[in-house]
Amino acid sequence: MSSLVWLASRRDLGWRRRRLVMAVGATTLVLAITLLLSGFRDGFDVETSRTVGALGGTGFVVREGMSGPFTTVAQLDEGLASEVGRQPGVTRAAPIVSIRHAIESSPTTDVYIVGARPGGLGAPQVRRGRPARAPGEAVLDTRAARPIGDRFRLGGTEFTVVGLVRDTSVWAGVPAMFVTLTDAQQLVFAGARSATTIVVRGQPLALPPGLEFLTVDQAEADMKRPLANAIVTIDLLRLFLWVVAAAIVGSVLYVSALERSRDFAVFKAVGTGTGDLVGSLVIEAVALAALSAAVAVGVSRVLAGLFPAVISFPARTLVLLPLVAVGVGLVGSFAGARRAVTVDPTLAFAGP
Amino acid sequence: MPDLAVDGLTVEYLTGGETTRPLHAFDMRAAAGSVSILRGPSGSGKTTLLSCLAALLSPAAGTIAFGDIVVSTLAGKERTAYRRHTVGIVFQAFNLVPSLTATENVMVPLLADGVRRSDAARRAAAVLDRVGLADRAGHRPGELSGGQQQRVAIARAVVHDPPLLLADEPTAHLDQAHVEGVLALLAGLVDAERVVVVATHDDRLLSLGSQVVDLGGGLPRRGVERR
Repeated sequence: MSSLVWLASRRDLGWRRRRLVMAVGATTLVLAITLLLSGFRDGFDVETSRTVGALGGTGFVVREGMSGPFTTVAQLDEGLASEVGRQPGVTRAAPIVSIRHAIESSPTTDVYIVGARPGGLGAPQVRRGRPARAPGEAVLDTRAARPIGDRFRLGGTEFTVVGLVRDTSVWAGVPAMFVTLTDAQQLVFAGARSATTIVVRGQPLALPPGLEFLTVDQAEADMKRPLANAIVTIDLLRLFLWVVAAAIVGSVLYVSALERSRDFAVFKAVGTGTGDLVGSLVIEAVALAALSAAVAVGVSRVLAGLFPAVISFPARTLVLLPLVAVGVGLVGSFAGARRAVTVDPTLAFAGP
Repeated sequence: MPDLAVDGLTVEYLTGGETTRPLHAFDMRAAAGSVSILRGPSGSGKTTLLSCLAALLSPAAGTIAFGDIVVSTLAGKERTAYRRHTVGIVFQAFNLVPSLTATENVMVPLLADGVRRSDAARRAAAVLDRVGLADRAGHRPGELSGGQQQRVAIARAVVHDPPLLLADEPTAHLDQAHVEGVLALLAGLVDAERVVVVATHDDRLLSLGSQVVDLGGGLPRRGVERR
C-alpha cells in the first residue's frame, strides 16, 4: 500500500468527523453492551468459583448417581461425614445443608442457604462481624443489602444478621446466607440430622457404599448447570451484537463510499490502484471499530457498576476485543470496498 | 518523443437495448509538442475520446498508440501504470478531493506511484508555486475559488510530468477573469515532449491549438443496432 492510503484515510476521517463521532458513539454503545454481556457470562464462572471456594473443600461427597451437591437435594445421614473423614486421603470432612430459599421479611430476597458447623468446612471467612454460632444467627453476603443486626424471617424462623461476607453468591447474584447446620436441618429436613453433601479436604481413596466423590470442578459445573440456557442466550446475543456493530460500521462506510464515488473515480483516473482504495476504506473501518472498542472498554466498566450480578472482565476479553474489533472493521468495510472497486473511473469526466 | 495515433476508433454503449456509438471509425494524429483541440457539440464523443486516450474506457474497435504503448490493448495493472506515468488529466468539474488540501491533491499522483511523502510534498509545492498558488497550498478545495481550484487541478495533472496531457472543458466552469489565467497556464504547459489534447466548446482555446479536430460531423448514431 502506498502512503496515499494513510493520507486519504486520515483526511477523510477528519473530513467526516461528525459522522465519525456518531458512528463511534453507536458502535461504542453496542460494543459496551457486548462487553457487559461477556462480563456477565464470565461472571458466572467467577461467581461460582468464589462461592464454591468459600466453602473450603477440595471436593464434595454426594449420594451416588446425584448430579451434584448444589442442584439436587439428596438426604445424607450427617454421621456419614465422620465416616468419610476417616477414609484414606481425606484430611477433613464436614456435612453441610444447602438450598435456595427466600427471606420473607420485606424486601423479599432470594438467598442461597448454606448450613455448616460453626468453624467447620462450609463456613466462610467473615469480612465483618462474626460467624453464625447459635440458632437464629446468620451471615449474609453483602448483596442481600441487610446490615449486621438486621432481623428477618425465613421459613418461619427469625434470624439476626451477625456477620457479612462478600463475593459469595450464586446464579447471577443470588446472595449466600450462612447459618448453623442445625438451623439449616430444621429448614430443610424438619430437624432431621441430615446433610445434602459432605465437604471434603483431600482426595478420598475409598468411600462408604452408595457415596460418590465430586471434584471442585464438577461441583462448579453442577452449580452452573441451571444457567446453561442463559449462557447460550447470552452467547447468541453477543454474536448478534457483533453483527450489529459490523452493520453500523458497514453502513457508515458504505454511505461514505457512495458519497466518495467521484473521489474514487478521480483516484483511479490518476493512477491509484484499486488495492489502495480498498486499503483506505479498510483502514477507516478498522480505525472506527478500534476506537469504538477502546471507548467501549471504559463505558462498560462504568455501566458494570449498575448491575447486581457479578460482571467480570478477564484479561482474555480485553486481549480478544481489539482482534474482534479489527474483524468487525474488516467485515464492515466489505460493502464500501466493493463499491470502491466497482466505481467507473470515467465518472471523473462527468460534469458537476 | 512519443506521438499519438488513433486509428479506426469505435466506442459503443448499450443503453436500454439500443447501441450508441459516440465514436465510429475515428482517426487522429498528434505529434509531440502539439496541442489538439477537440471541438463538437455535446454528445459528439469528445469526452469519450479523452476517456479512451486515458485508458479509462476500452474501445469496441480500433487502436490507440502513444509512442510504443498500444493503449487500446492495455489491461489491469498496465492500465493503472499507464495512467500513473503517462497521462495527466484536467477534469471539467475540477474534481479535487474535498478532504485534501491543495498540496495533498497535487501529491496524489505521486503518492499513488510510491513517491516518498516528503518528496511528493516538495514537488507539489513547486508546481503549486508555478501555477501561482503557493500561498493557498494548505487550503482545502472548498476554500478556493473556481479558478484556483482549476489551477490546482492543472497542477495535479502535470506534477508527474506526463507526456500526454488531457483536458476536458478546462474553462467550462470559470468566469471570464479566471479563463485568461487558465489559458495562460495551459499555454505554458506545451512543450516539445508533450502531447496536449483539449476538449472544449470554448473558442478562446482555439488559439492554443496546433490542430483543431472537429467531432461535430454528426450526432452520435443511435439505434444502429438493436439487440
